[in-house]
Amino acid sequence: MSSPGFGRAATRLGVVVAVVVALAGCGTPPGLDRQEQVAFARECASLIERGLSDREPPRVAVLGNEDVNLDDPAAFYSQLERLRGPSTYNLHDSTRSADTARQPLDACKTNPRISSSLLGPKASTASTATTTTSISTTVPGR
Amino acid sequence: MTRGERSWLDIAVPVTLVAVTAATRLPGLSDPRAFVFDEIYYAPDAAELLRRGVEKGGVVHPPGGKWLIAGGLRIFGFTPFGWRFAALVCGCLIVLLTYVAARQIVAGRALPALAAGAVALDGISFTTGRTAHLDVFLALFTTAAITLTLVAMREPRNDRRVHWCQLGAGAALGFGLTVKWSAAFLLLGVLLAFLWLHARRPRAPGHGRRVLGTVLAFTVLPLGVYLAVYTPWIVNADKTYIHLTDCKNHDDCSLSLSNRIRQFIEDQNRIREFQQTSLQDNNSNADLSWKWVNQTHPSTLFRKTCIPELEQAPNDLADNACDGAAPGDISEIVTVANPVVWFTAMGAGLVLLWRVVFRRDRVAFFLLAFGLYQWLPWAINPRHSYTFYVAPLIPALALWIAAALADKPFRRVAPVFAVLAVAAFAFYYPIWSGTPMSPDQIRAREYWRAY
Repeated sequence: MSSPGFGRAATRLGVVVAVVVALAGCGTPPGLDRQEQVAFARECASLIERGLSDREPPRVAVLGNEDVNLDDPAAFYSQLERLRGPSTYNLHDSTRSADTARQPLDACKTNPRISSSLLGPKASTASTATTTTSISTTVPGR
Repeated sequence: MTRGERSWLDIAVPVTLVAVTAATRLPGLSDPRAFVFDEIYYAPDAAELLRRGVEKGGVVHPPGGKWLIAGGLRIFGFTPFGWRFAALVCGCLIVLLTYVAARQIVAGRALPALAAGAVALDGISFTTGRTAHLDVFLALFTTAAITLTLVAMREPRNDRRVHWCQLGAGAALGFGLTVKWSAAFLLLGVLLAFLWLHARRPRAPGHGRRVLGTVLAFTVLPLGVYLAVYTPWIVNADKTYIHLTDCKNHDDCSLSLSNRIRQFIEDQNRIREFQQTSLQDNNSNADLSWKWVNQTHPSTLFRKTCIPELEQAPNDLADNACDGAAPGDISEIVTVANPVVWFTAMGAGLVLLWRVVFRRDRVAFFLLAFGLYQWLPWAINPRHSYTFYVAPLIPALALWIAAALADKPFRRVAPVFAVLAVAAFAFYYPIWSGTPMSPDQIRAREYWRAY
């Protein structure tokens, strides 16, 4: 090693890091659920925006049973706020205890593009050549 | 050089490397305020670990890396900064470890600093060090194992050092396995390196005991670490998605210890099944791993076209990806290597190969092995892979560069390499960080015009 005390210092650093990580991992921070709901609402809006923003007008998609039109941004965002408000999430609903945090995103799927890009990678690569890159960005890999 | 100067530089150089790395990665860490690629899995899974000690959804990797992400969430909450914080810290530690590892194989501080700098300036290290993917955590543990192996190889007759280094490397690879099973690729390489150290002294007292100790350090110890990290999972196995679904029709959802262990084994089988059957050959972001060699198919983690309408997004819905963008600009995060670092490393690999063949250079052999053990298993696999899987390979490649540039004929190349690597970092920074640029500027950065 480069200096005699390095091994000892590295061990101490490792212990400190391990203790900090262990302490940090204990318990949940206040507001975690609310923050997660906000993050998923943002993700939902971001997915829809990414699906529409590289199209030429009219930038319209179907979300649930409603049309959303990014060309009228004020109406678009008020619609998203209404459709994707945090109240729709169910992270701690005991009657739906088997749900996962990702499930609310199922309702963010616009037809036809976003739905295929988030959960159906096969369909995403079958999209038009001009938009292949943008679609593929939302295909998770793992 | 005096003793005082030596100790001052021993602190100053690594601290500077870490500080500069953090300074390049910290700005804009919270943007985009949306999940980047697989963050959509790992961030909520990490939150679930904090809440219940177990992920609720189906998982395809062990929980180690997600626990590290959970540490960031515990400190900073479920915010983009919170779920990316652990990646930032681990990315900086990888740079530090690369410096320490390089000091074992080349003299002085300049080339080790260059190797660490190569990691700091690389695009794959940069993007994985700023997003909540598991590969940066895997890279941390594999780099730790490589570093400890090189520390032991530097003084093979120092039994105490070898002993502690192999324990450290075994534990590091155990932690690596708790992040992704692909840590096992390196485990064999490191085990062989320690066995080789013992083989050089076959008549030393206690030889058989030391060999046995090494084998245990790379089998029993990693397994023990793996099970220890899984302990919260086993304790909370009754809260998994699978179990909650199974027990919906029963009044009692409690689990006996034997059933918890059975659940654990079934979970491991599900991971194995996914890893064996998921070819990912229908995902446009993935490609065959042997193609990593020329970086023709990097994975695009995030892409958004910026239009004026997006500026009207309310704060609680805005992802901020297009902040400061002109109309038509694109925000893109691409996991592509710094071409100067990558292709220099490919050349350095050939230099090391030459040294192995014609000089029987054993250090060069093991450096090559540490890299190739993390690449070849992917390369011969029909599964399509993402370029962020390369993250654990980058520190090994940086060591190749340091070792090759230490050769007399190549020493003069080092400053040129440093300048070009920094220049390439500055040029490619926007497509690694998601800084919006015009489509033409983005295209100018696609160095093969192929992705």
